[in-house]
Amino acid sequence: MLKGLKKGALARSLWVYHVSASPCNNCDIEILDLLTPRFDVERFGLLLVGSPRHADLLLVTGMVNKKVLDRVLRVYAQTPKPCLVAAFGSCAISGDLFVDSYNFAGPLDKHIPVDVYIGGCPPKPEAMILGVVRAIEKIKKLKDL
Amino acid sequence: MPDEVTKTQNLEKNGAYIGGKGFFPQRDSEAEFKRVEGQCREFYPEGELNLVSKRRWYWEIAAEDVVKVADFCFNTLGCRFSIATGEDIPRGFTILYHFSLDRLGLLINVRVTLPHDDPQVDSLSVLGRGFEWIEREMHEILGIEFRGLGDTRHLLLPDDSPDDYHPYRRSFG
Amino acid sequence: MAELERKIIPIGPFHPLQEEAEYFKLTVEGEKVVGLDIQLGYMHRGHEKICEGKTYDQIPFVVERICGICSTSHPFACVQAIEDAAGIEIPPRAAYIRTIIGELERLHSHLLWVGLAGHFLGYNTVWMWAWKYREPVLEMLELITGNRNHYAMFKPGGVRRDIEGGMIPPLLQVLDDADKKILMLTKAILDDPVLHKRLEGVGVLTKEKAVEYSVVGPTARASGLATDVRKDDPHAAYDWIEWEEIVLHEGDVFAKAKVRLLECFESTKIIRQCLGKLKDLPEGEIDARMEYPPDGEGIGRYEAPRGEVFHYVKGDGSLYPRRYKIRAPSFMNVKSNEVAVLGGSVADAAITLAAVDPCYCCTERIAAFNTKGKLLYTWDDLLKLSQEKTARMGGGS
Repeated sequence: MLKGLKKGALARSLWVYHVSASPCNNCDIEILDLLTPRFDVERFGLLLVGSPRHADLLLVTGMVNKKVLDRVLRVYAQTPKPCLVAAFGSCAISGDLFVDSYNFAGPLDKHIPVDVYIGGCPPKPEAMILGVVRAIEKIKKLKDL
Repeated sequence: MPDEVTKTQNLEKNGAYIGGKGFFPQRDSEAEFKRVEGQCREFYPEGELNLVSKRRWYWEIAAEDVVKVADFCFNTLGCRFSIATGEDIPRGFTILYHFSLDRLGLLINVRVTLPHDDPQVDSLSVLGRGFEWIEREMHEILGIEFRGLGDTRHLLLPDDSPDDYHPYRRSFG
Repeated sequence: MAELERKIIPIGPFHPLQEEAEYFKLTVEGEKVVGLDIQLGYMHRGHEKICEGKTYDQIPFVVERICGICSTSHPFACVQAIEDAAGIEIPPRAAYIRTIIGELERLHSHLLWVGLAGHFLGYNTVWMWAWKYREPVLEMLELITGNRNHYAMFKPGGVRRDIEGGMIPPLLQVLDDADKKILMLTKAILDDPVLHKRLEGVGVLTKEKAVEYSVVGPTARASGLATDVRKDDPHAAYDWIEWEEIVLHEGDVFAKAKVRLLECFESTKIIRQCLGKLKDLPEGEIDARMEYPPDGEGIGRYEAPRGEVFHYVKGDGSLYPRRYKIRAPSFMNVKSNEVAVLGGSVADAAITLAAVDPCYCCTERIAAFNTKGKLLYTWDDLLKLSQEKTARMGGGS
């Protein structure tokens, strides 16, 4: 019964931590935009937190460059499991046009396991909400927590 | 601008908000351009000043005189330093310093060429702090030595990059 | 009495919700800031090298992704550099459309800054309202260009899409609404006595230091330097319409905020005049074909919301450029923080660093360290200090 309660609680209120691994800041602004009155995700229970230790969902933006890769891995290690990882924007999914760069350290799923891919450049706020809904569905399907 | 903003902020009285067609009415005056050209040629006649277009001038100078000419542009003419571009070409490294004379909208681009085997030039950080970062960047991406530049830490590349890693160098021959 | 120890305070990246706090090194004695060291490198993606491998019609898409907030400023300067090198003249309708897109972006960027500055000071209502009134501007951009950011409107020789007659009435309606809302925000901010006490005299950049650091944009115009690329280097439609440049002399954070707010009014004025002129030009003539790739050097500049964006291209007649140089305005502005934070208190550090409107993706991210390497406050702590100071003075919401 406790497991069901845990799953239910997690699914109703996801705490999101935003990791920016060298983005162009467009995705970051769209994430902050979600808190503003037009989209207002806090009514869904989503909260943007200031520390990875409180996070349930890691939202990673940006093409991961060599200097920041170490930090991304450290943040992932610090986040208490189970946690979901969402690759936000086409830079995190595949590197977009930066694959040719000398500073490119590989798309995100080469280094950490990714659960949700939210595509777009930048993804529209509606797409992000859809991505979070998919993440919640995934949590509900998790066999153990 | 709504009147209520102008009035409550006393903008016109405080000497601010001088608008209109620009602060410098001589921006398009041919005589002013000719005068500046004369000053440049008189100061450093050994250089090659190409007036490629009305507002884009390219000035080839010797590497030893870079501080002298930069001081002329920055202090005497009153230019603002915009940025510098470093490039690796077959005959050596070139650094193109872009100085912007805002009252005419003119860009004076000063070019120096350095040899491949010993790329050294005097640092312009003696003239102002605005030159430091771009020199640090050129030092790490091209390997150019700036004599007198105090801070030579990595600016953009990771701190653990090897000392001979210069991504913008090309291999010729 | 024991000597005051010098401690360093790390301040994290600009956006409070970004990871890791170790980018700004503030050296602090007691409550006063006595030094600042800046470290970059976390966003370096190698754009200049990527551009060397792309053809001239692909480069505007690459440079657009340098920054998401000043998204159109980089393509604007880029196409001007290519046109300068190739000697192309664009048709007048394209010039007006470019100006309209550029000024719409300036509106959304300044409103974004006002919101974030409000958040740093503890005025969360200002944050929510500024970003709410930014939404109609983004909707208009989506109507004209197809995307809220990263518009992909520019190509060497003109623009890619036309503004059709049917788009103009909703755009004028949005501009009228925006004017009223910006007036309300301006009065709320400039007439608030607590904000005057909080921001006046804080983070002062004198004119001599502004010249020494070669700052650009509203940072320079708030310190008495009359530099605005739209007035200095005539391009697009800026010389064909009436508008005013705004220069103040105090150099503090309040002056920087004033410059940005007053520029919003000028932007709506420019857009209205351009829309009026578009009606007289025949639809469809928006592109001058580039016959041959450029052979020579070209420089393009544009006044982004943060300052002068500088692009340099060197072509050799082939499809690919030999060298492409990009300099974003924050590269020059961020370094001036070294003098602007000196002498101020720790609680004011957050707003001083934010006042130059740093676009770190354009520049790189900055870290704060302390002299002994001891962590005193994180970014969240500094933000809280700033918000608490405002609350003590009686303001904030």
